[in-house]
Amino acid sequence: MPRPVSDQLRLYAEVAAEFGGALERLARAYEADSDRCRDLLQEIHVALWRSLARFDGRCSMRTWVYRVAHNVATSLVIRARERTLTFVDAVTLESIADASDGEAMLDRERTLDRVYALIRQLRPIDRQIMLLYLEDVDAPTIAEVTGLTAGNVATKIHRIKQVLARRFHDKGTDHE
Amino acid sequence: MTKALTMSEPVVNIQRMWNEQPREEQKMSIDEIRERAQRFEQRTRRWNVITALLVVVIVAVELRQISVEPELLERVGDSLTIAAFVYLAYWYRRHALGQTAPAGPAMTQSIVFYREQLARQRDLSDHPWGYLLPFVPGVGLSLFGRALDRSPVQNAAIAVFAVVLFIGTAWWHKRSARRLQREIDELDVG
Repeated sequence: MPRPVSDQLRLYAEVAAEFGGALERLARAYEADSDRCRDLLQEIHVALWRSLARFDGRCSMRTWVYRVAHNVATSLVIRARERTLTFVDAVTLESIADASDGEAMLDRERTLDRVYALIRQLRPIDRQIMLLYLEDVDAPTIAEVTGLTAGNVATKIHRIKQVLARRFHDKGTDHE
Repeated sequence: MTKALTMSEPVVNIQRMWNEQPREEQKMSIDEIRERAQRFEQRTRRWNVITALLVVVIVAVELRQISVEPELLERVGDSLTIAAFVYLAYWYRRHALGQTAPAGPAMTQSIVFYREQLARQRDLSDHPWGYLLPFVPGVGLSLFGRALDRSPVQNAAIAVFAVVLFIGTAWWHKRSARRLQREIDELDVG
């Protein structure tokens, strides 16, 4: 049974205020091109708006929002499969050398650009876990959003941390 | 003296940087969102109407062809082609109705959603004969009906082209299906 529009409006306003920033980062992590990124973000907001008419509180709003956002973005990845590179999982990524491995974190913007580039190489599920981890979402919620077991999520997060630690090794804190 | 680097240091820094990124403020107003949602639904309805009209036009053209065609074989061929189009329209409609409902993405865990999307694409690719074969009898009979009017070389060229087109399309789809199945298998294992 759909909700009344007034309820839907209130929920959407709350969601946009609370998760707006996370959704922008998510869209950017899926689409490097700024126009396509904007389109994706709009598509996510439209899907969220439509879905909120049927929000029934069976899961938390956070889980709901991230499911919608990741699933919409995943549809885009699948649609764009022909023009994209082959994606890898976190294990494979760990074994691929990067030209800037171990490089100090020179500046915030460049580091974030590298993080985005790294995420875009990942397969959708690994990408989702990495994004949710970066958004500081706890492991049980990640498991709820993705449908993976808690143990599987923990393993994947551990690998992601290893990749991040190796790729973004801060030389400034390495020696005294 | 070397201080051991704890793994969490860069990770924590990156997490902090990630969450401190400035917003780009490309916000859409609620009215724009609602308008886009309505446009989305209108587009879906319009697309359904267009495809239905297209089938009606094709069927009408084929029916006219049958009414003026003196050759029995060609008339049978055209009738079979109509049947193939009607079947394809039914198949497309069934497939389109399987699309997710508005709350669908929220109700489905992402690994399940991803798997479903891959499986849907695999199924589309895996059975190319499902939508190619229905056209074979009709197109085949229509071509055969006029075979006597053409030179043997022309007939051979048409036959080779048709076979290559059908086999090439089927091979391409099968190849995509195998790639998608590999991805599904990896998802199931991992």
